[in-house]
Amino acid sequence: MELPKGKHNEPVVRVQNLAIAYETHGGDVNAVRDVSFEIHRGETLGLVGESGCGKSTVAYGLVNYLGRNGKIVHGEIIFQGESLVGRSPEELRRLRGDQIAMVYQDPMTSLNPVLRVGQQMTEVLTVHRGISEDAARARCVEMLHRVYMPDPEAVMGRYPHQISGGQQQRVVIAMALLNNPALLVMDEPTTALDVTVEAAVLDLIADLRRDFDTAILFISHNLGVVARVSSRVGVMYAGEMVEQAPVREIFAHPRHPYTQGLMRCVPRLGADKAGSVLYPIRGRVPAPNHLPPGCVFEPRCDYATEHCRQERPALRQISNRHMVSCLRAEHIRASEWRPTEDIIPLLPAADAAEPETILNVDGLRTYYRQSGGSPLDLIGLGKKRYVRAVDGVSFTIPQGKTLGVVGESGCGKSTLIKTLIGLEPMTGGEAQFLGFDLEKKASQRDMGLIRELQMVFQNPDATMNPSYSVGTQIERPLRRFKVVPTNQVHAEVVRLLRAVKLDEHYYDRRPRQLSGGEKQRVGIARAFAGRPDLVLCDEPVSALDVSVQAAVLNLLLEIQREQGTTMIFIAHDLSVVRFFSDYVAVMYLGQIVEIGPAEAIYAPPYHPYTESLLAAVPIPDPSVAQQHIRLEGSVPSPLNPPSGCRFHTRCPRRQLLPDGGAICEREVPPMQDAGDGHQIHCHIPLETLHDLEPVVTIAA
Amino acid sequence: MLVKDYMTRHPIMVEPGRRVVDAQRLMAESKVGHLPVVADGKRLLGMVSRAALSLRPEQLEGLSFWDLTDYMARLTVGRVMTPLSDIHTISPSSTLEEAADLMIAGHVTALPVVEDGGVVVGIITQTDLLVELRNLLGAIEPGWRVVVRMPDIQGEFGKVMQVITARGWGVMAMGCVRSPRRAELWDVVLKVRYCERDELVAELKKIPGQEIIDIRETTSYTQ
Amino acid sequence: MAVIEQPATLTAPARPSVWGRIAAVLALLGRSRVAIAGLILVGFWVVLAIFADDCIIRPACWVGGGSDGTVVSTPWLARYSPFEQFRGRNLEGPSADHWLGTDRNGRDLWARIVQGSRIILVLAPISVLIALAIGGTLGLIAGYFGGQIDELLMRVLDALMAFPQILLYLIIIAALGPSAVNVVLAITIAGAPGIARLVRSLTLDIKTRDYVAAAQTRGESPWYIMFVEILPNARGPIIIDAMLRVGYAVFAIGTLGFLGLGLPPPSPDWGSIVNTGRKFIQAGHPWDALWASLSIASLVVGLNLLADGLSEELGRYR
Repeated sequence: MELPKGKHNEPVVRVQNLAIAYETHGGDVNAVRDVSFEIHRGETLGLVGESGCGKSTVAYGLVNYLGRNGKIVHGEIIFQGESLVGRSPEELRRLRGDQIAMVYQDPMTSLNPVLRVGQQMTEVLTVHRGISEDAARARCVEMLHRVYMPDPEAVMGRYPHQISGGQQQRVVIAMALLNNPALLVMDEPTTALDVTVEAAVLDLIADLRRDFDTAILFISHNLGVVARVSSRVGVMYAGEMVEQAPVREIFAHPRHPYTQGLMRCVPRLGADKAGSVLYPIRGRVPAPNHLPPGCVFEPRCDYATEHCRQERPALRQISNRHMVSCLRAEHIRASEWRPTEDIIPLLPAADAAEPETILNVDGLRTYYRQSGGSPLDLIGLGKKRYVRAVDGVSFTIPQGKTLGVVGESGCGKSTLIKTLIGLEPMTGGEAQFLGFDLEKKASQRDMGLIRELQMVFQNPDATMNPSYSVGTQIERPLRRFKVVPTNQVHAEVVRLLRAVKLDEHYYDRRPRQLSGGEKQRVGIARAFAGRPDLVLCDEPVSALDVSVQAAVLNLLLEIQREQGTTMIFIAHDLSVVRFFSDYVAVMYLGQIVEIGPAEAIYAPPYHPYTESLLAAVPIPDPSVAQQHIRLEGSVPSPLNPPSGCRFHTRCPRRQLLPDGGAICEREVPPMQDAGDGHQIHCHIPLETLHDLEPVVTIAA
Repeated sequence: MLVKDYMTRHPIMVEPGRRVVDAQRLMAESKVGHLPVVADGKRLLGMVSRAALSLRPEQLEGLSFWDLTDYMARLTVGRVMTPLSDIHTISPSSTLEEAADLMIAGHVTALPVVEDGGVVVGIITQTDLLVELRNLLGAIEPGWRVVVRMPDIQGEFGKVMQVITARGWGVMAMGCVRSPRRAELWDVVLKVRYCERDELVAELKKIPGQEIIDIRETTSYTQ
Repeated sequence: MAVIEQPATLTAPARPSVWGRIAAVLALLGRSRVAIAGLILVGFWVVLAIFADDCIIRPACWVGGGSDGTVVSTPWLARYSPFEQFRGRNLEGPSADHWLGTDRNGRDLWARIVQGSRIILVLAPISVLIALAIGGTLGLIAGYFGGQIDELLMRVLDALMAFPQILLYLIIIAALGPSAVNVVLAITIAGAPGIARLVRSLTLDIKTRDYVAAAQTRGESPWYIMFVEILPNARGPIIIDAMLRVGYAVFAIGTLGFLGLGLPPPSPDWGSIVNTGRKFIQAGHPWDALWASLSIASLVVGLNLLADGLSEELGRYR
């Protein structure tokens, strides 16, 4: 129970009617308009919203890092009782050093690559505070301990590039805390991290807020992450704060149609495509210089009335601590919402017939040569070392089904599909697809095989060649695979564009004129142009905003159902994989540790690695109870993977075995069949695994 | 029960070059009575309180109206603050008693909390100590507040606790102090819950040599 | 710097015409003062070269005119033929008749400089274009295939780059004899390795993009991927580099002319004008050397400014 404080608690920072504009060639662009909030000691305000909604601009405005063309148009930022607007750069610099700290998405922006970690950290104390070198060192080690850095003494002696991304981010957080700042601004601090590392960093942030009484502004596009760390949540849309409420309140009773829409876009962990549907928000975020005259969300809102088109609603209080800027907030209920026709995916019923196996992979291995740094290597006499990116992977996929592949970065999931499609040479093993052998590289494959095997890529900005129009790029596979006679190519491109919900105007557009979601749609149209039997998707939605993500997932599902395409789907978001896949394979260090039907993977018995992944997933619902299982350390090097079970160095369940799991270090774990094609590679008996508590309990 | 648990972290601070009028406004707007004066790196230079900022008549003697305005505009916090040599500081790992003692000895109502040889990490005020006193005596939850007076003999306190715990009641707050003006006796304040008044009185009366000074029901206090 | 995400405009754009794209490039250049200055300098010489005489409408004179003294073309901006010798008017200073003065043989310096610009503005871009074709292809091959091919190609090109350029020119011209073709050849051989390095580094970057992987998964041939998928996306830095190289080529042609290894006389090569004029500087007639040097300098500076301005503007909107 929280003991009551005796004193009146003034907020650390209070922002009032803040408006920020950027000067551009076409005049000022208002990126943020009339945003107000306050953050008290020991409180975390989470800011969510799609990209381009002004979240980061607010953060940069707070510390006046707006760049040459940014300016605060009006409004107040009161920090510790004093206004920050209009202060001299020198004063602001001192404040930033002493009382405000920032943590960015990429830790390397805050670290000096040529200085050792220890040197950078102690400098904060010795230069600024006049603390002796030894005392400062001791404080830094203590602080690194505090952020759960394994072996802090050793880390102090390393250069930033010698430690992993998660560790870099912890160093940055530790550095920020050395100054004991009153306000910590975090801009997507975990977005670049793996889910397991992310979970550890989020735990850390929650701890620090409590122990140091720091006020935190936490920016993220990920609802799950915000649900885990925030005490209050602000939702931003098109530069305005549209809703603000305590975290439980906002997830239980979202009042603004935009907040409600965002929550419908993300699949709940445990939801699948058979039992639930994702509803994207139609339209897109308006450009800051083309805002609608009334409510900014009105063009995309299902509840909009004439009144909404004319009057711009202000943020108002509708209940204790719950604020929303919607004229009709009292009249709309999330539970009574019905999707409009344009966003319901048209999903033809899946074929019930027993499908045949289309892809059969057996003992697949992909190794990369790694040259060492010795002089012998220069002349090719050095010891040959191999990165075992994929090391003995076997699975089959029935026609028309989807296999989801999950695992931390570096587990070999991308290499696996690159090998299958022929971008990487296969080192060993076998892969049979429709009677073809997938041994050769793509350039040597038969045109018939190439046509049946296509890929959708991750990065929407790199998936299209910037030099050619959309139409040209979709035409190419049509012509190359001779899908339709030459005189019908144009018509077919238009048909494909329609299939991915783009109209024919897009034919002549250049990639730079498209948004991320549109580029990804064109990438999908290009992949499906040759009507392939197997499509490999490498994180096709992870770079997209949630509402676009929902639309792209629906699109993939529609096309898959229509054409009976088989898919391999890689994603790091376990909820998305669960939603999208029929079968799921969990990979660790180049091997599959668990594979089976999707619903079986997400319930006990789990492989201990799967269990830790599930425990780490940020769930956009603060009422869901999740077990606290955190993996220690980082993934070992695939250059020489651990002996026996590769997971034994980090396994949290080893003590369930006699001798603390001595067998795990010696022997390769056996494959245990849990029935229905569900296989677990672990020494722990199935019965023991079965009796483990489910990781996620959804409150009734 | 250490200073670090009860102090206000990240106090509002002021730089020595700020004008006194600005500091006064800052104190009024943010409702605080004391401002640590800090240099770069949050190193403590001194303290100002509302009293220190208010000008005494003799300071202004002989100043014309225009001189006065000028004087006020130039008067900086650094010139009116109580310098570091004249103030007491406390470390976050000290006890609350030490803080109280320093405040009493120094006739001040707030202490800056510093570590690493002078870096301000917080401030602890009389109010913080009063909050602690209130919480210590359990004034935040309802229950029976009973004061028992007992002789200064080893084991007397154990008897009371035995009686209460034997009945399965709970002690949620307590305090012991030598009885006012009678140094040979101790007054023990207990806050007991899950019990009835009559039962409690009956049980406590059974203990020889002890006396119930006061018993009353307290309800929860709001802040 | 903070950037606002600008969703694409929703109006249906027409297919951009050639003129539209040229206008877009000019508009881009127009934003940079540096580029405008360069454009004016280079444009000055280009206009002079094109309208020096009426050869644009009488193409016959490109082939044989002038060398035997019979002037087929009628001079326009050049005013006189570069070969016409005005008797008794040798070594004169600037005057109304002869704007820049005359040389030892009484030939009009303005006419010679203007006609000389024609030579240099043809030879320099051609040599760079050829170097670009050869170096670009080698760079693409080295960058795209990598491995042994890359090692082999780049070591050979490194060996070429190890020679000082001027030495390379001297060796080639000395071996093959001075002529327009050999000047082009020399500049090509000296320039190709540098271009290959640039294109290779760009290729190494671009070949990791997903659209290249997409082309590979379509089973496209390496040549298609190199020239259709990769090369167009490397064009920005290549164009800027080429513009700088044209400047260097102008300089190189001038140097060769000065050393007597350029075009054989009596062709109005800027370098050889400086060389012959050099002897008369102390005799109180600096005009030959001065005008020809100024011409070389202004053209080189103009090209450099243009390249600078362009790269600055392209960099800003990347």
